[in-house]
Amino acid sequence: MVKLRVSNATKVFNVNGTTVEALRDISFDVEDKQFVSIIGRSGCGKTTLLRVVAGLEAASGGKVLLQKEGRLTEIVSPGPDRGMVFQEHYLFPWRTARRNIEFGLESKGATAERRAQIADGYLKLVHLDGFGDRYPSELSGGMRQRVAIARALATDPEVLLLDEPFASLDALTRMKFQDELLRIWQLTRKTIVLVTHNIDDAVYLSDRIVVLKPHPGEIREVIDYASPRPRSRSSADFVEMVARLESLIGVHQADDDRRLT
Amino acid sequence: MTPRLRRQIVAVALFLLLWQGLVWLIYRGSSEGHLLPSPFEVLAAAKELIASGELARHTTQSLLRVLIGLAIAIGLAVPLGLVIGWFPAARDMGEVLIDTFRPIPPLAWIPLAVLWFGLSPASAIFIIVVGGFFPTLVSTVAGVRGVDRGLLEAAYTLGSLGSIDLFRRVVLPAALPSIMTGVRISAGLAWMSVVAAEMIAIDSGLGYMILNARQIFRPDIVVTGMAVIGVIGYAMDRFLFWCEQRIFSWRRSGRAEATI
Repeated sequence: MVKLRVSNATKVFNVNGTTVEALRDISFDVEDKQFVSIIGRSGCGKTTLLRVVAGLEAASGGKVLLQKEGRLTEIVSPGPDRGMVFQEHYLFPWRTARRNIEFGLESKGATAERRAQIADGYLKLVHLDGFGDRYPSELSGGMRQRVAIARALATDPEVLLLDEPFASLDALTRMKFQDELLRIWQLTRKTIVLVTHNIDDAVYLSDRIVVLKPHPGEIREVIDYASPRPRSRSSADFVEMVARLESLIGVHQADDDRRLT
Repeated sequence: MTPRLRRQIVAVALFLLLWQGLVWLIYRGSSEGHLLPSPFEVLAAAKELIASGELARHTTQSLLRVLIGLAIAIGLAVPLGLVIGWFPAARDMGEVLIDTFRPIPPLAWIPLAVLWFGLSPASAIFIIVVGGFFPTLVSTVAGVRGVDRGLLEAAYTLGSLGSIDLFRRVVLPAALPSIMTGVRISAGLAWMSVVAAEMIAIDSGLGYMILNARQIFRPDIVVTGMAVIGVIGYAMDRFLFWCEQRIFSWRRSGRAEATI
């Protein structure tokens, strides 16, 4: 079943009177409970694409459709049916971890008791039980990112959108966090769309990889990758997939350079 | 005793010593008619004023006026600042007016205040409102403008779509530290304004006490009044600073650098 459909989406920005084409004719599907990565070099519009899906940017053309109550509904604005985890996590610094997680539940009008119960559950899920009363300033970067994930999940969204959540983590922490995210995905049975520029993220985590190329952001290829989990980074198909993505993303760099000269 | 507190006590003691030394140097033991009273003479005057209840009366008058004036100033400045900070059109219109009115010192409003309200507490309160209004207004505007766009977007994706809800749960708490700083500056200015206003517009309060002491040739009372003004201003600022620390405890950082 299709959970999320991006259909001929375009995005044009107006910068000081000149128009910049950020996204051109983007179409792809995300199946229910799938883990999909959007990957590409910087400037390929992957974050813009995620923001269009989140409803934070309006598409200049085309549509984003979300499966809700049995039918595909067009998305026009942000809403708690798409949980968003920002690269800078954007936790509310004046709220404790717990109260951050409760923010979306307050919007829904949940009772204090119910909110506390749900927040407890998600604090446990991201292994932060005992840290609920800490303010973001009292948490490490990785812990903040996990609070952000818990906050986005707390409203029980149809899809979870993640914008480079590993960007600020070192290599070892990153690998740990990848496993953590997989575990959360498997436990919550959510549909996840991850934006990353890291090939290892995409190959290690995804069922489907949407490769973008820059200037303007266009789809280069959509690859389905059905290798069973947990995946071994040294397995033949993993190495092969990494090489394929490297060539898809890297070859394009040469194209670009040629065009510029 | 912390090193900081010890240094502060040393500073005050040094100042008093210097003061006493200066008096001793100027007057060389003659004990009458000092235009610069010594710390001991000031202490004696303070005792006298406390015993007669005069100091308490004037101090309460001044404090009461500041509280009323400050409450009005904040009550006007915060909502207006929120509007000006939030709406671009209101900002363009507001800024030119604020920047023109702000340089006018509260003292310059005294003649108008007297014309409008006469020689009454209302005049003094008006001056305090004028003095306390702008710092809070300016920092409220700055606080709202400084709200991180990302926090607003996070709130949108978490289902906060109504602007009142967004204001209550995101804009206001995000701007509050800046607003509090403005209130602290306002309180200081209001306190300075009240003394000035009482010197001209009314017949009670610390400002009046000082001015009256000059007329009856009591420099010791003048200095006592000044010292009380200074000490109360200091205490007020410390109190507000303490409140700030309490309310915004979430800004302190580095309690735990745990692993992920």
